[in-house]
Amino acid sequence: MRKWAIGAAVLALASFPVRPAPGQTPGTSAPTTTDEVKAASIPRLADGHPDLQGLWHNDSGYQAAMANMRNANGNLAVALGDFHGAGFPLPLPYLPIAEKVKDYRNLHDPYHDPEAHCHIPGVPREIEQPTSLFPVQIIQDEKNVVLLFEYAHDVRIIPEDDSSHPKHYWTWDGDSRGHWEGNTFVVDVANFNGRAWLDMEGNFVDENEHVVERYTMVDPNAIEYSATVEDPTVFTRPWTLHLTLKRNPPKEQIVYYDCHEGERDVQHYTRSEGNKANKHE
Amino acid sequence: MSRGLLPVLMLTVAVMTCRGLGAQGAGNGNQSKGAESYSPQRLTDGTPDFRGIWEARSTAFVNIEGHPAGKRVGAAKSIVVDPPEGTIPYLPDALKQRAERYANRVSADPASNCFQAGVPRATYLPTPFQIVQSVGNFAIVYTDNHAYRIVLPSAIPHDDGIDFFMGDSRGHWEGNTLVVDVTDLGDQTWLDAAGNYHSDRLHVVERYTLLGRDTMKYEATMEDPVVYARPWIIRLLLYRDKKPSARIIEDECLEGADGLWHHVSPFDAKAVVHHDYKAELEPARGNP
Amino acid sequence: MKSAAFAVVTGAIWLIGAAPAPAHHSFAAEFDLEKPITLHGTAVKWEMINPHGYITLDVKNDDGSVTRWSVEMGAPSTLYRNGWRKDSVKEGDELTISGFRARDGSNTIFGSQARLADGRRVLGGAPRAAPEAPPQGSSPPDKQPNP
Repeated sequence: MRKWAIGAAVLALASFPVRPAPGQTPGTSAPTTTDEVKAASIPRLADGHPDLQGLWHNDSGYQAAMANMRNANGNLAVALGDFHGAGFPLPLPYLPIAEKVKDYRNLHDPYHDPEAHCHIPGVPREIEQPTSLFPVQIIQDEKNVVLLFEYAHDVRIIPEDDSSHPKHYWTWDGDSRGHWEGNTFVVDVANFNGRAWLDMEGNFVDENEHVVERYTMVDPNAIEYSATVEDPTVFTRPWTLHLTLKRNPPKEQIVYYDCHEGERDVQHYTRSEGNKANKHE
Repeated sequence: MSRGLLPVLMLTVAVMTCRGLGAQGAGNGNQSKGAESYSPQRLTDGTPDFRGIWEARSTAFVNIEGHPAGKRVGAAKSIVVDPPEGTIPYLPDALKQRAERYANRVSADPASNCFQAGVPRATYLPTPFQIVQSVGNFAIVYTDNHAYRIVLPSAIPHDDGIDFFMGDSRGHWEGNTLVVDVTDLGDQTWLDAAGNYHSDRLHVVERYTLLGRDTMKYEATMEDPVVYARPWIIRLLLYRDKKPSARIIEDECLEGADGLWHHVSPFDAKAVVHHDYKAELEPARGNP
Repeated sequence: MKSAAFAVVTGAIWLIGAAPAPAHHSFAAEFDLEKPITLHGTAVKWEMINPHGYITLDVKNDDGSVTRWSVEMGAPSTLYRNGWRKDSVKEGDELTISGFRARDGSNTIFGSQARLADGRRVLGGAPRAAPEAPPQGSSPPDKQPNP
């Protein structure tokens, strides 16, 4: 029944004026037949925009690394994630002093990573790391695109009206304002409080971070995501990460995950010099 | 997106169409028969449109059984409507436990550690929540501790054998009322700041009904055979924040030197970590 | 009560993949993937709580003394998806758990797989499976795990 409904919706929307996708001028030749077919099969809401709703996970990096274990065991053993996929452009283009700070934090303070203390991971980390293991539910109600993350019940309510950022407002997750450019949901994120890190190896951003995200549904089960991060007091230039959100199997749901209740890890963390991975005091 | 809701919705739409309840997508705002007959705006599948930012004006968060005027609040009566006396029908031993919690409430209240407020407490906190709703999807996002609940269709069985601070919610429509069945609440939340509490056997049934465009009635029935002698009901009104700029602000807690967690205001410039990288790298900071 | 600090071993799976161990949230700081261990003991407590589930396990050493171990596992949502429930472990259950030792020398491990009292094998949410082999031998505790 669902495919019928989608097909009917596509036919109904055939004459619906859609702004051209970025880089595409109206009247120029269309993409390949495969792309056309895929675009036609993308579910859409009544407002004409792609329907991003559902349960998704970041398919890059950690999941790929764990694929071997799945095959060998017949099961998927998952753990808390803090792992960059191939689309994360390491090494990041740090300013010289920021590079020193990154190395310092990596060697001395990795357990000061706020995420290890159960704080909101920030943008783009939440969608890049915990979401490789804990899914995100997207609800899109024609006023907002809402990201409900399983990890630490982080939430981002993103208005679709391209409204302005507030002044005098600073947060872990930033303030998000979105708008559609063709089939891409573009989100501008600012108003950070300088507290979130990028990982547990010292990579970081500060209160001057600014992010532009792009969510493009390329087929009914995949959203291409990119985040362009700039921070003039940390990096020499903007940099962009890419990842693919894949749809979780239909029967899966969010299983709520607080972080807070019985946190006991930090007391066992050990500091190390030099070869961080293998030595302990 | 779950598909189990579709047959339920189709049945609901069919029933409502038979009752001739107005055109799709339009509400008639007709209150001549009393607020209970209000016909709300609807989504394209005919379900009432609850989207928006809502807040209780009640001070039930202090004590749902009512309280005298205090430092920052006026006096309030109980929001318990059944039993009609307005008192929670605790079992005798549970009353003693409540007294103990009340006596220690400043430190014993799970909210003082920034745990999520649970159900129904999150509904009448003095901070707003947002209802996010599309065809087949319904979620409530609270300001407090950025808690959220996803209300799945009743056709999907509850998760079993695990506790959630905000419970496990399943919803269905009875006319214009959203009925939400909540289980798996654990025992780590209170019902207010006065020590009113429950066990992990708590079962809550909520009813959300629009009385007008900007007013919603909220009722919740609590049953817990370990703590209460019988089920009991609370009722209060919720009001829409109509400002176009209204948003749910971020609410995150930081651990303090006192071992407790404290809410950080996103409007507080002093809470921003301004980078001072030279200082961070100086050996005098105590790191070898 | 029959419990012993040696492993139950059949079909041990040693999985050291070619890829380096991902440095992930808390794991690398706290646990050592190169220090696998298998414990067989009696459950004292099972906490399916945030952010990690914990089993407190009393393990009888060869010399008759008992060491209390703390077994940390994954997030409750991960455990739930792997089949764990609030009632999966009861006080007194005999369990066999393989995992990785804490770096700080305390009697703490991250449990990667467990055999429950009813014989079911469940995963604990570690980055990889721990080889099920006899431990190097148990020693008296140098630190008590915090409850």
